[in-house]
Amino acid sequence: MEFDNSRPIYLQIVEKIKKDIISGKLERGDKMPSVRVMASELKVNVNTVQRVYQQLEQEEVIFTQRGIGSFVTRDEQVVKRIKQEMSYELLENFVQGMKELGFDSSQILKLLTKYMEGEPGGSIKGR
Amino acid sequence: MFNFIKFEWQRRWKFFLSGIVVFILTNIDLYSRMLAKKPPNFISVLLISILFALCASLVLDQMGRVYRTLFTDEGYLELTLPLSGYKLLGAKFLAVVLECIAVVLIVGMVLYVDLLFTANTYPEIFHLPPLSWDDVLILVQIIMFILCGYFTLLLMVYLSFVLAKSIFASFKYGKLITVLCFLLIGKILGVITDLVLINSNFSFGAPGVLVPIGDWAKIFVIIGLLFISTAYLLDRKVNL
Amino acid sequence: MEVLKVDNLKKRYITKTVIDDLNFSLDEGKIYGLLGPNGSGKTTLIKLIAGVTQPSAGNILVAERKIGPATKQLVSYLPTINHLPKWMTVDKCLQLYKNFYQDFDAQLAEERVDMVGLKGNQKITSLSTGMLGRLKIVLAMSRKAKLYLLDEPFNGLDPNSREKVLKMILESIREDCTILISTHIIHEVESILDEVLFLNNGQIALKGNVDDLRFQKKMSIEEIYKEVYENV
Repeated sequence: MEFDNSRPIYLQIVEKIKKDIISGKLERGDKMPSVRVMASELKVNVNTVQRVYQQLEQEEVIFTQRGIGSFVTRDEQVVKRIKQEMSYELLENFVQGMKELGFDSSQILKLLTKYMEGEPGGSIKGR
Repeated sequence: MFNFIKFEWQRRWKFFLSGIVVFILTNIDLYSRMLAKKPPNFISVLLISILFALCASLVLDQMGRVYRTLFTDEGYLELTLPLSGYKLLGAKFLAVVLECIAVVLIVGMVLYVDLLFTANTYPEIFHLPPLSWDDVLILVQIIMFILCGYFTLLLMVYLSFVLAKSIFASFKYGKLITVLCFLLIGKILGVITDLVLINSNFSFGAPGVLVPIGDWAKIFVIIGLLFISTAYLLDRKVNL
Repeated sequence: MEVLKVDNLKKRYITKTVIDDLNFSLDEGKIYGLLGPNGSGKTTLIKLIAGVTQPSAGNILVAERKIGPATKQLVSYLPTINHLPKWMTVDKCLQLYKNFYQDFDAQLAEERVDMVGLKGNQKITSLSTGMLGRLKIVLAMSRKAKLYLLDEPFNGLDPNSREKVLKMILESIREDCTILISTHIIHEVESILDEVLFLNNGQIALKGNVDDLRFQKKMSIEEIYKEVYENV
């Protein structure tokens, strides 16, 4: 995994695991690899992975059973929640970026609709 | 500590072995020529010069053992081993002492074999003179006296190196400082020797006594002081 | 527990001060990066902790002990220069470490010698800079030390060797030990560090957890480095 060094690495790993859960790469109730294994796979520090697991546990995305290991949550609600959270985050970034370019809300909506209809950037060129 | 002596000898065993071989060859060559009353030829001269070179490099090597610790990159290995300065210097010094004793023993044995051989081959010309206990004692004392002088010299060299890399480490000209330290230590020791050993003249009065016990004690004290001050600096004050 | 504690540490030479009243401590179980440009005092600091140079003032404690033979048994030091005797072979070096350090895992070291592509009978003099760098790291990291002092472990290493060295460092971190890596090749260690210490003129310019720093400054450690030393 390649990291963007300007953002906390543990957050990037947290996001990746969440994505894997949403996309189904990691299924509900799956056992997570041990901290050590994951650290050596990702070539990062054990403490970083520890922080990842702490964060995920706090958000109830994974749960730990003493002496057995950590597991992906079985709670459908949680998965829904993180999916929502992540989509909001993406939208927020998108909208903020568009606003920086000078589009207002209705223009953004229009552009987005056009884009989704399969005419990427058409109207901008035509203007 | 003994691990370190082993380490010191591991790198030198080929050198030691070649020294012994060259010495024995030289001995055989010279001895056989002496018996045959032939003059030494080119090979004898070559052997003798190799032997001489080996002796000289042994002396230089023994003097340089603390130099290696302080002035070369290997010091970063030796000085981060879990050994105190006392043990490190102790190991180096003990190795040198043992080497010198080994040299004396080997030379002594070979010469003794020569004498035995001569006595056996030409009983009519040569008899092995009977050795008295007193003679042996005198011989041992002469050898010890020479060795102690050599050890003192070595420790003076070691102390000079350590001084240059501890108290005077901030100065750039480490090697020059070593020489100055050596001269200074020589001067100080000279004064001490004059003060302490003043009544020591070789007395052949008592049988079997060359140097009186009291003077031996003084010699050992001087060697001990040199050793302890060198080891202390090596233990606490070294700045690589 | 504090694996290393440095109190009011000073190191002066006649004309300049290399370490100037340094105070910090290192915790167990973490990888620290000691960063700074040439001449900032990194190597001197590491030499002081390793015990090959003496402080002008102040104190250094390794696992609550003063620097001496006892701490040397606890500290695994990898110097920048080649400290291995020229006459030795790879096997002899392993033997030497095994003889002197109780915590040296000879079997692990042999496996790692294989892993980094070295052979036991190779002479030190025949090794390239990269091979030597790999051997030095194998020797240093095959000890179960309390504190690892790695002074520029990536110097002169090709990308392939760097990868192997990084892997070995990551494998070696345990909960009861600390690794201090001095380097100016920050990009290489970005992802493995827990904390960084930026050293400048013998003083700490910045210290902190790498992810927290990234979060605060929205920059990589490499960019923060540039920012810290820009004003210097």
